[in-house]
Amino acid sequence: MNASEERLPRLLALIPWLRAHPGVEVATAAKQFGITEAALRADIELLWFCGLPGLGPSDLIDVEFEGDTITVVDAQTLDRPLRLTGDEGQSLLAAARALREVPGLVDAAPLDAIIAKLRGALITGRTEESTVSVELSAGGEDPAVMTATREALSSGRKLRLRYLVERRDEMTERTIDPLELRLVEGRVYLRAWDPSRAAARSFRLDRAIEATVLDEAVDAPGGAALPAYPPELFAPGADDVTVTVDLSARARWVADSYPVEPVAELGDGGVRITLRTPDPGWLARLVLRLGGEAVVIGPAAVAAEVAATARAGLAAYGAIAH
Amino acid sequence: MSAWQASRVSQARLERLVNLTLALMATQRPLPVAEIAARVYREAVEDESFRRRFERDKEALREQGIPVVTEIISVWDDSEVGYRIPRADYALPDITLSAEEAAALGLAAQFWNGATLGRGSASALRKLAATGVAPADPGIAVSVRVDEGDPSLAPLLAAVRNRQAVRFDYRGTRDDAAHARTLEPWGVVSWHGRWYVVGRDRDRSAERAFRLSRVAGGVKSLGRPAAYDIPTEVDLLARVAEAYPERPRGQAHVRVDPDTCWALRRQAIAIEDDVLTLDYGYVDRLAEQLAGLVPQAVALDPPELVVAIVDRLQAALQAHT
Repeated sequence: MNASEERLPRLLALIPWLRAHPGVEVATAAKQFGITEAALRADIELLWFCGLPGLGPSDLIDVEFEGDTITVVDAQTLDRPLRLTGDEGQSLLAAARALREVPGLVDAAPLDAIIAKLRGALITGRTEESTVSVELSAGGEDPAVMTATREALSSGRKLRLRYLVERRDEMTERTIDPLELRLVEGRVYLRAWDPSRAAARSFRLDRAIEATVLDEAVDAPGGAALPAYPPELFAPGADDVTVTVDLSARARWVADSYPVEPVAELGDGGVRITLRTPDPGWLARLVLRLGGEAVVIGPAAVAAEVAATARAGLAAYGAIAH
Repeated sequence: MSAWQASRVSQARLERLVNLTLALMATQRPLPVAEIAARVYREAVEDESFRRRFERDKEALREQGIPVVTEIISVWDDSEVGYRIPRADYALPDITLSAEEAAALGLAAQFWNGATLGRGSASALRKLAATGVAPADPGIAVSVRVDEGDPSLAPLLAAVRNRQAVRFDYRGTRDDAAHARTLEPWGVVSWHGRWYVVGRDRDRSAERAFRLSRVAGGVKSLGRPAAYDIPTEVDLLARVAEAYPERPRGQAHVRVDPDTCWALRRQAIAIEDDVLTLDYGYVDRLAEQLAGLVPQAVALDPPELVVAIVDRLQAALQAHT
């Protein structure tokens, strides 16, 4: 498939989406489609030349800009998007099927309904083959524990957890403020605030023997889910440093997990991004972890910090002379 | 042809593909080739170059899943065919979701956070949004981390979709040397946080599951698409679980500077004299974590962990000097 053929699905999807969002801001639309504003404008400019045979004034696709907003005036048969392709269906269906298999995580009925409706929305004649399968949980979690945890999470109440500390072969009980369920590497973790230790902890739910929802509301700081990164790292501030980083294909997930601005696609599936933070030291450590898959382009001081910390680390491992 | 000329040609082709789609969707009756030639391409139907272009364009639309149907036009002459796109087969059907279903969709929507499968999800959700269907807040905070970082994932997914065989070098578990393998892939699996491809190994004429992290170099497609059938009723997850029974966990010792590495200390199963004992499932995951904690945390053993960390630091250093 050449470049023009790859752009075709986006052009055909753009008009119905814009039609459903009249007066949307160009920046919002571009972000939705994962393209730059310039690329979006180029797409619209191309579509202005398209229409029904004859290409007379009333045949052409009509999209109007007004200031920073954009509205479809005439979609010329493109009022609805194409049905879901194999890739599109596969992604959502694999997700739905994976979630469904974690006992007690979600109610099966709505997921089954979603699965059926998505299958019905696939391109005619294509059936969903289960070509992508994800195991979210090895199945060690007690469904009753999962159900209680879910209830506590959705109603913002405390949870009393009876929990096996494996290394001490000890049963322990804690009252915790549930914050978030995390599914990582085939296990279900509950991230919760433990008031007795004044700290957030992750509990493997396959080690939880019993969970009881209490009547008390949680009193965790902030109340809302603790993000994976401290929020103060990303609130924009006067002391912020803007760091430009090249991510290889293997490190691309960073762009999806942290608030970054994409700058450009690189060859081989990599991407250049910028990130603002008052704490470049934290970012330098993340870059080190990624072992060459992320490269700081600038500022030079942050790149130098990565190099210096790497050298210090290698010296500590005795691999190089300091 | 200059780059500018090439981009003008592809621009023109895109316009033509869009115009062809519109023309075939707008028509109630199948359009004969001559009419398409005259009104959409503005060329003569006898023109050889028109015929070739039209064939390629039709193929391009069909490859996108656009249902271009060929129908016999005349009751008296069944050689005259025409083309159209039936709206009902093209268009995403009307979908209504209950509140619970919208919340379930909300969970599925935030599932993939990588580019390979995330792109498909995002694209599907945009199409649903264009018909007014939106996911809702799932009501509980759930985060799923399914790493899509492996560069083999995208080409293998494509090969599965096209039912096209692939060839790649694979580092076996017994020796570390890479051997060429030829596979008819059936599907990919994420199991215990790692990706596997399952399919029929042509050289061994048997089913195999390969771990993607052991694929060395690129994945090359081989032969034609639709070259084999994917067996139905295969439980891919079960196959991988059988082929890769869970290994015993490893244990590492890490020395930490005083008053540092609090998160790591919490992970430790024992602490003695500033040396932490940590359980781990996969060496490279722990190596990644510890590489970010130098020089305050230094792994003492096992040797493969130390080597993995040093490799990472050296690669990072090399990329920044």
